[in-house]
Amino acid sequence: MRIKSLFTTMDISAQGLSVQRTKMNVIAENIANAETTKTENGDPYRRNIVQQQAGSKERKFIDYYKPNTINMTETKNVHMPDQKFRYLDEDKTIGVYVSDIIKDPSAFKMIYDPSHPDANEQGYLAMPNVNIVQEMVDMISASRSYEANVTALNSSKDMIRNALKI
Amino acid sequence: MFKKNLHIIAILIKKTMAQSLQSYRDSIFGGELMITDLLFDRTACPDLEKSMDVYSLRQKTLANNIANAMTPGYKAQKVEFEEEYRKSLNKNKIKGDLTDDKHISLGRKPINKVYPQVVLREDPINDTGLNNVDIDREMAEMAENSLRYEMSTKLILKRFNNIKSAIRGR
Repeated sequence: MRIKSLFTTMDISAQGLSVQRTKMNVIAENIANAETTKTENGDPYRRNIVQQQAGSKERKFIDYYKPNTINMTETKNVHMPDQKFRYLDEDKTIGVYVSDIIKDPSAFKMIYDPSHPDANEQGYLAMPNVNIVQEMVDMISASRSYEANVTALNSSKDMIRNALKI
Repeated sequence: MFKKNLHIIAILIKKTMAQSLQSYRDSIFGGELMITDLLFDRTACPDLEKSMDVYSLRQKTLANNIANAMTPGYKAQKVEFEEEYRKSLNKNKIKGDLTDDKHISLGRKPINKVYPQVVLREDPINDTGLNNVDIDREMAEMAENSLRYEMSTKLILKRFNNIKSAIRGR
């Protein structure tokens, strides 16, 4: 077993931490802009959503599961080149990353406030589509996920430390 | 004259003893016997090393499941090893003898040919509706796994310490 293998475990947990931190940042931005009625393009603020995806941006999942791959040798020049024959199907992904941060397409909340400078002719004001309760729930969820990843990271660290005691 | 005979008898006894010892060694260890065999290869060390490999791979899949606990559409993974290993230890099953590298193993596998496999968990999608990762279960399994790893390392360490004290003679 290569020692790199245990450190990739910590890599995975670190990726999880990074994703949850990104989520927290985006949620903080949403809450901070919950009352912003005018942005650069003239519209009210639109809520941001983090899309996370299993897998790895830079490295292919195959890098992590070397024991399950077969190296083929070419003995004749008519043979096809080594394509790293894989047993694994594409479902078994390793790692997690933020694939995209998208804008929530749902409609703005309209409230009646004729005195507001951004109100339309009928006196209605478009408020951002941020739901504070929703954001709070998402924040707690992200924070708990972060804690779970920290626990996993500590567990891996303890394992490496144990291995180094031999 | 009698003294000379005694000498010959002593030599004969030595020879037969050496032969019987050799045959005893052959019967137990199958031929040549090195000191490393006695100290490491024919002890629990290789199995403990394998178990550490398995536990570190399992740690990786558990960390992956936890990192992806909120990823929509993710499929939880697990490591399968114990069942295969138990099968390979079952002495009641017939094992084909391998005398050549090109032979295909028959019956139960030799222990060093049993590898851990990463497979997908076949659990239904859980209450969050995102995926089938059960975070409580993952955390519990992770705690158990890291304790098991500690057990393996402790056992190997004990073995090495025993050898060390035998070398020192105290």
